[in-house]
Amino acid sequence: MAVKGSTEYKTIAPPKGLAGTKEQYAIMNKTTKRDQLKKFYILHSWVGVITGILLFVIAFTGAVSVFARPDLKLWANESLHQPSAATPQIIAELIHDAAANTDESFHHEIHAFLPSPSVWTNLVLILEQDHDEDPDAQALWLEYHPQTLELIKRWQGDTEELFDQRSQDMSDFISGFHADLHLGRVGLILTGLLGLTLMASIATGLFIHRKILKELFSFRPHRSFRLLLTDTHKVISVWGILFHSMIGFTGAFLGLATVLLVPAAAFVSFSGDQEKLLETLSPEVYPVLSSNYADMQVQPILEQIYNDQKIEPLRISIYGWGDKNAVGFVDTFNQSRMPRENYKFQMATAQQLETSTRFETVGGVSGQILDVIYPLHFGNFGGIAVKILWAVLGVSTSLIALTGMMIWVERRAFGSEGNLSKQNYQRLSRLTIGSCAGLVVACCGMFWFQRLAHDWVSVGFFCVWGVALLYSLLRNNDFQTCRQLLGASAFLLIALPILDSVTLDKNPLYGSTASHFNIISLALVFIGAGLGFIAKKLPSERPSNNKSTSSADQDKLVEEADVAEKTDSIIEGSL
Amino acid sequence: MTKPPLFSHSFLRVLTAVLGCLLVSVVIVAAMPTYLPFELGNRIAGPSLLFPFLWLALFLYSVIASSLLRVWSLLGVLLVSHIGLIVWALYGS
Repeated sequence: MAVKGSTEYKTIAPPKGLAGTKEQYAIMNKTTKRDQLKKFYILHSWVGVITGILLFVIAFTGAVSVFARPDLKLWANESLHQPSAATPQIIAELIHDAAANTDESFHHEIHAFLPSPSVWTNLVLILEQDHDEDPDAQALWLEYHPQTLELIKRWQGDTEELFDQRSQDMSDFISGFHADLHLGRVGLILTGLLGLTLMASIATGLFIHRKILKELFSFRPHRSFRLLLTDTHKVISVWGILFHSMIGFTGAFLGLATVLLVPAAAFVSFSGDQEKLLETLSPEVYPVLSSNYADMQVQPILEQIYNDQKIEPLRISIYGWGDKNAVGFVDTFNQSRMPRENYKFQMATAQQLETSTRFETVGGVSGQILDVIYPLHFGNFGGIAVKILWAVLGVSTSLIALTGMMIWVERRAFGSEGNLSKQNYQRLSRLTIGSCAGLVVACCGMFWFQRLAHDWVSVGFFCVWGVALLYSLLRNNDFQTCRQLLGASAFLLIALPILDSVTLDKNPLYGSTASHFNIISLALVFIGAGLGFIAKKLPSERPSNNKSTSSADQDKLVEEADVAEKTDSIIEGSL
Repeated sequence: MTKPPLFSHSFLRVLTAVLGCLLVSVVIVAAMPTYLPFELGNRIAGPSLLFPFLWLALFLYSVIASSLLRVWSLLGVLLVSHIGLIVWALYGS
């Protein structure tokens, strides 16, 4: 961090007769202020360059994850192309059958995850023993096909291994990769820290670029390549500042909540018992059982929920099956309301007791903020318009990271900053292009793996990314590499309808033209065409402004760009 | 006259800003429920929501402050006082 800071400067001696006067203090204050701005500038550059590639990866996969559910899940699973055959009556029958055919100890908690593109592909019933009483408690997993309702998986084992049984498709893979890079707790910490550093970059960026209103409209694409990069970086940053700040905060919170913040919060108030803390703040409270038998009214409850067109049921959990005091909670998604809603029912009478949100029990402002953090982060409210806006803004966050990296390299490889050789900076540039454009190819390739070898989505994703990165590192012209990788991505998306017509049992072209699946397929082709257009427009080598201009003129243009850049910034004269 | 480097003790400063601030912020989040005058839910969730801003303020101060000693003093006071509050809450009563 001390690259520039370690330079020795000679300060101007105060003019005679000014010692101790207001003028001297003004000079000192100005120098201190300039030093502070220099520090913010250096901090902004170094935080950006250290986290740049990872920020691109997280932000880009986040933009894709916005569509993970229901759109990508629906695209990935042919069984979801038609409405599920699981009606309230059939679901109720399956739950009753499962309960009748298992030992009573498994009736402590019964969950039914309903088939829907919003969360689960298949209908899954989970019957659990009491894991509070018995540390060796077991769970039973029954998974049914959403169309044929045939039992396709039966598993019994330790409750801790329960959710490993869930089958993954590309939508689960990409949203999981965005959340924790598939590295578990370490990945969560990394993404959480990245949210924090994004906040730090925004704060330092605001300090060093104070003429925000001017920068909103300052875009000079034809002056020089470096100026194009800096203007793009500033314009995207300033226009989307609220979104980027929100993503930084919610990303930091979601990443660190389970690994740092919940344990820290539970440490004093609950003597370190995190489960007790979560139970205290959860709306789903286990009832006090009466030991009196009662019939469970599953079907009437599900019918009530299914009949409400505004809400989409995701899960029903029944606590204390067969007891008069048993309660059921139906977790639902409501497009017109931001947080998920949880409906509580008396299982013996099918009477609805209350409706609450996930964090309503927390109460106050904190509860309201916690309720909106997740939907706000993923644009999971307000329908497709919000999702498109969130995806575009998410891509803009990734472009900020990319342009920031490119500015840093450009100023050193072709400018006066930095102590390393030009080759070293160009290597970093190749690494950046390979990682970022390679990720775009890998995301597009993921669709092909889902159709051709769905068990190999993750392996295929990393292989494509690795090959693209290697290709980029071995090539000298990273502008050309970028074009080629984006061109390959475009091809992979545009050719998807051909892949669909070969691999799907029912050719989607014969289905309803306005079906959700067809709209997604069309949108993917359009995105592919857009990527192809960008690839075609990108330069195949580093732009030299104007080939007819002389070398002296080019130097002058670069110098002019530098001056314009520095004039725009409050840090002028201090670098 | 020679001006001192812009960032004194670069390595220690980076270590303080990255690890020190994270540690102090987490300890503050753990201890804050002992003195926040809210209901239980808000008392627990509030500090967690404040955590990113708390870390950001400490991080920026650690990097920008001219004296690293002053940074350590501030972080030290915050750390010791909040650990004291945790110990008092767990064992004092």
